[in-house]
Amino acid sequence: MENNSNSSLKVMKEKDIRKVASTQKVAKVFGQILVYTFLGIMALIVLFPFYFMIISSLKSLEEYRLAVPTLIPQSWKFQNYTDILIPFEMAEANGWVGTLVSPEAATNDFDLFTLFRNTMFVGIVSTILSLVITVLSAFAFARLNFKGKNALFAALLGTMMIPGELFTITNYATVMTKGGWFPTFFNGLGNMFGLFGPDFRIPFVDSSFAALIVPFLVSVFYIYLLRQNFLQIPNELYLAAKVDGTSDIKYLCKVMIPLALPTIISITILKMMGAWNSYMWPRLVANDDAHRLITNGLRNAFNDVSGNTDYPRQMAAVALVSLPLFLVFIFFRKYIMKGVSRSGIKG
Amino acid sequence: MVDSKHQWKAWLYLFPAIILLLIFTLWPIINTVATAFIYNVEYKPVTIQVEVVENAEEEYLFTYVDPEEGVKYYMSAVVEEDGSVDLEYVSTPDGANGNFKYDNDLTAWTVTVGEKQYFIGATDDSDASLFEINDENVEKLGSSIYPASLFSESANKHATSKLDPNKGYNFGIFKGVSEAVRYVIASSEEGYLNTTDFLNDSAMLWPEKCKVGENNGFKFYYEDEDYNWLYLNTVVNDEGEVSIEYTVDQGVGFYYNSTHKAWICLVNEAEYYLGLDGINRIGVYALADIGAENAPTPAVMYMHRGEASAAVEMTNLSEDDAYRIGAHRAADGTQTYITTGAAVGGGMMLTEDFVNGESFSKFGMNNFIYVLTSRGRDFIVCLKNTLILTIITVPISTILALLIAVGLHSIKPLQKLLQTIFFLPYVTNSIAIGMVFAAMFNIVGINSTQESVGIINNILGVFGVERINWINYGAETWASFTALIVYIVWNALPFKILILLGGLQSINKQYYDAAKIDSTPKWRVLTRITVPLLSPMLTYTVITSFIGGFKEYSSVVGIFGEDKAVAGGANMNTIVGHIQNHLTITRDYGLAGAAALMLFVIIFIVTMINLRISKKSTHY
Repeated sequence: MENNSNSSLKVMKEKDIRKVASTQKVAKVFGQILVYTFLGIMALIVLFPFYFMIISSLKSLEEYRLAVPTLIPQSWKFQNYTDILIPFEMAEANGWVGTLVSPEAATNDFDLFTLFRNTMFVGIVSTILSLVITVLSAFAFARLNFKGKNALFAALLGTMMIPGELFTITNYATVMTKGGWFPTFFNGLGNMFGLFGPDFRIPFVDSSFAALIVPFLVSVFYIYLLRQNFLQIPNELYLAAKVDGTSDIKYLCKVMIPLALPTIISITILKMMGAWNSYMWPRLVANDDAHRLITNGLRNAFNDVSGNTDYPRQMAAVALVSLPLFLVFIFFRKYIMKGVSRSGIKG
Repeated sequence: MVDSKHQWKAWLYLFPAIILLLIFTLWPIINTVATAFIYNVEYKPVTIQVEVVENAEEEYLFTYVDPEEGVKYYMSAVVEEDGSVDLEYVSTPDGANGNFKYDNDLTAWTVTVGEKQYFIGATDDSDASLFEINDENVEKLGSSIYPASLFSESANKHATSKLDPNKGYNFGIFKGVSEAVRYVIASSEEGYLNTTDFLNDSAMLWPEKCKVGENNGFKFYYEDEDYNWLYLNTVVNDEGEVSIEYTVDQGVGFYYNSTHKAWICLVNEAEYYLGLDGINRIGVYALADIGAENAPTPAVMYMHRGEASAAVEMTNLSEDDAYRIGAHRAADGTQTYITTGAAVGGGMMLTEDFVNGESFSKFGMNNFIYVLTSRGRDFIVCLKNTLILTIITVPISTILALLIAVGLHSIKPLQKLLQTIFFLPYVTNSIAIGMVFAAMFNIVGINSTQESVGIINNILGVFGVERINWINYGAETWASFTALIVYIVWNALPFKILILLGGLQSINKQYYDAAKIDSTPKWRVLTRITVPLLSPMLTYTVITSFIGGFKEYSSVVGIFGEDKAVAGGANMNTIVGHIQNHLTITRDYGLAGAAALMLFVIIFIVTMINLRISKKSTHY
């Protein structure tokens, strides 16, 4: 076939070649226009919900309900945001009601501050603990030799194939059974097992928060990811450190972790995003005002039953919940995309 | 290079990970699989009637615990040869034996202990206990002492019994025997109706709003889980008969229809019945649909403290079922003592205390059968929903993602910007953006004069499409699914584009150069070079999106809220949501485990099929 085209090329006259080239150029430009149009339309479709969210969040309810919707708010109602951002008691104390905060905010059932605090607590604690466990395990698998290492590693990877629903059920029973070991232990931990009297409570240490954190501390995938990364670091560094009498932990902190930092950052971001986005498990085990996480809180709020949902304010809350994710995305795009393309895990 | 120092150190480092994996991964898998095979025996009501037709000469034993005295009575129901049933008193605390017999003149159950004769009864302030049969007590019988009745939960026949207009009665709306949610509304002495959950005995919604009305009527209204107000009015007429009226449609009365076993009302000459749908919402439904597939089950309104019934009818008891026999304190209905019986071999029954809710378990495959049939509530619907969503969304999103990725790959300017835009939906919260989609599809002020049709309908209106009710009350199934599918595809695109674009960028340029020299047409390049060389990535995205599709859940919650259903429309729940409902609503871990195992098997089979197909067509 190659011979054929070569021979036909030979026969072509220079004029013909120029003609072919120009038609090809036209076709190419036409094709490019087509591609850009397609991508442009798709990009508009992808962006539209965000645009809708932002313009709706700045409209007044009356404007939102116009039969012919406005594409840009007639009057920008930032009150939708301040109603959520400023606690009503604080606004009342400072006399902001009616100006900065609307009187309707009194019935606001979206307690952003508490939800944010809970989510950050769960996210940070589970990220730190999870990183410690992951780094230690990955180190053991990457650097240390011990009997049954390969078999154990294979077994760990095997657990990745089991869908989460299969262990959700028993884990739910474990953390929710009244008087079971889990609630007993973690509620006990919360008051130091009665060491300082029955009324002593360590804030944030109780069974519900533990239920949000503890079952998901170990991620076999992250151990695998970090082990692969550790393996790339030459063993000679470790042996040299051993000769110098450096302890394992010191070596980990001074050499391994800095060298594997990109992976660790990826894990941190995905873990934090996980806490921010998780809905199903928190709804099962921590569906009360004191422990609710942000996504669950968002779905619970603004469920006005009379059909008079204040959509602008709801959209403002949605925008506020989405904002941190966008910020993280802007600053850590590289790590997120790398982590995602390797894991296929959403959040 | 295995040295002993490494040994213990390695295990020390691995210790937290291994312990946590054992507790929260390995053990749960084993336990879940095991519980899937342990099923709870379904309780079936035993109807109480005067005559027994079948099962002559069989004997059923049950116990009745008197909570106040803590005394356990053993009773056995003996079916005589002529088909009548006697309840026998097998033992008393002091070891005496006696027989309970139903006395038709006295309309009460009687027993002889020693020399004396007693009947079972209860007063307003005492528990069910034995009253000596003497003139004084007999005179009080029916006025201040009420004969204890043995009642079954399907005691619809009591509904229009004679009642005292000055007294409060129990009314219940409950879903049926195997369901966990029951609402019982009971009157108290202050003239208020208290609402209690029949099973959990916990206070229910809005007790302060339930007031016993004047004119001998008991009016209550209650808010169901979907925040719909339900106004009911019970009227006791001069004859002491009770009817239940639906006061929201003024003057419409509900009457009990024994053919349909449902409460029926007439509105504008059309017949409706009171029913509960798959997620326990009460409502009025067209009578024509009763009994049809997916039709709401008739809500039963029952009352007890009717006449003390006579004997027990127990027909066709099977060893695989459990039966419930109740002994009930008749006074104010606040306490109910019910013994449950499970049939075991030879017609004997095991007895359990109903109030404490101990269940009776067996080993076998029944959970799987239950999930696939009635007791699985809506598993089949959820499975169907999940299949529809997966089969439609996976091809659409894969093809779209492929086209976008190829397009992105072929351009130079703006590539980075567009790539970022297409990745944007990935870093969103699926619940939050689901709410945005819900707002976009939502019609505000539907059916009112000032209606805003929602942005999607506005856009479609530009192209001349009529207003479509996507997700609002009474939306059609296809419309709700379309809204959901649009969202799922939107949500699924970024991950696929990322993977496919990565794959495209790793394809050797030489192939394209060769194609260019041959002046191969663009589409041919796509189908003959790009797709085959991309096939490992395509396989990966298809497999992961099939798995993701079968686990679809949060997008449904995002759009349709925690009911996972359209009010007056389709049930949009998926398998994962179904499993979750078993954890939180039915609280039957066995059913949840069975459903999860079935999900696992489905995913496994589909993945195997995918791998099989892709093995043939994948080029490495």
